Amino acid sequence: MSAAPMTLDRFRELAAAYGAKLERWPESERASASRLLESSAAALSILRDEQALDEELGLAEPAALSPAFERKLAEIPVRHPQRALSPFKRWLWAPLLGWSVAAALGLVLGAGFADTNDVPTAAATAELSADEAIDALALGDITDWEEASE
Amino acid sequence: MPTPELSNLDEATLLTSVAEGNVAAYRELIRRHASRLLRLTARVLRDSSEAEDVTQETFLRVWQRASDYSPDGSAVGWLYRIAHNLSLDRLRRRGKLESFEEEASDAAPPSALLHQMQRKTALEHAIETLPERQAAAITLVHLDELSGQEAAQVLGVSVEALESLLSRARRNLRARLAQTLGSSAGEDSP
Repeated sequence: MSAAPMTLDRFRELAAAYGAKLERWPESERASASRLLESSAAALSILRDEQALDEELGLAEPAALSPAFERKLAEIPVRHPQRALSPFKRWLWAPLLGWSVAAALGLVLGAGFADTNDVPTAAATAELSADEAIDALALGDITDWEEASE
Repeated sequence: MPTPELSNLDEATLLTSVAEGNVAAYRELIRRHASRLLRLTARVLRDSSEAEDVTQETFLRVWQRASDYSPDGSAVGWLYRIAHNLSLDRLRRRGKLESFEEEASDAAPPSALLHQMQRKTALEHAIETLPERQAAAITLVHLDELSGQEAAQVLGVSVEALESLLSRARRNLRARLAQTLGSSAGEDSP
């Protein structure tokens, strides 16, 4: 689907701002500007009016860097260590790191226990029975125990 | 000389490497942008010594805070915005921000000097006498070749406001160049 046709007024606004080089215009408007340019002598004339100033602007050169200044910039990493994580990031990362370690530890220990429980031994079964008795006592209705002890 | 690997990387990737402590990536950013950032800060501050200070501070921030850059935005815009904001801070400290924002400089070179000026010098002077925001807009888009969106991000304005700044800047430049060179400079070529 092609974009809506560009009006001559919009073309004039863009040329006044960005000059005659369409590659400098907003990407979303270049195609419709090109189409207008193909069919409008007025649009072509607007671009020609801007070309002379573009040529003048093309003469500008970046600022010259003195060797001493270049050296100062290059030495920044030597003279200034990179900062540590910001307090916010530290606050964010510390719990995440803690959770990750806990999860990893849980997996390792869990795997170890799973192995030992694959084939229960007689002693373990006996222990389990004792544990079950304690659980029943602990989880039972406390009124039963109170009544029994009176 | 930059290593071929580094010269192929875009600014966002370089910033990510700088955040990991890569000094070579940091130096590549200096190679690409130091002289342009110096030009921008000089345009805003109109003082070459202060411009060097601000450019140095900009690269210090790049080195120490590259991890603050979010890949959602333009890396070039992020870089130039630091330099522009630091320049504005300097102007505020000087108490001159208001006058630089909307008023053009009254400074004019002596008339004898005008006749000796080459077109390049005339252009430099014409840009220097623009209001600060217009000078910054024209430098970012027409000299440093940032996109309109990136330049708007640097200046903290909408794209529409940037276009308005650029139009006024170009109109003023054309008038100043015509006045300085006394001919059709900056106007329609025959």
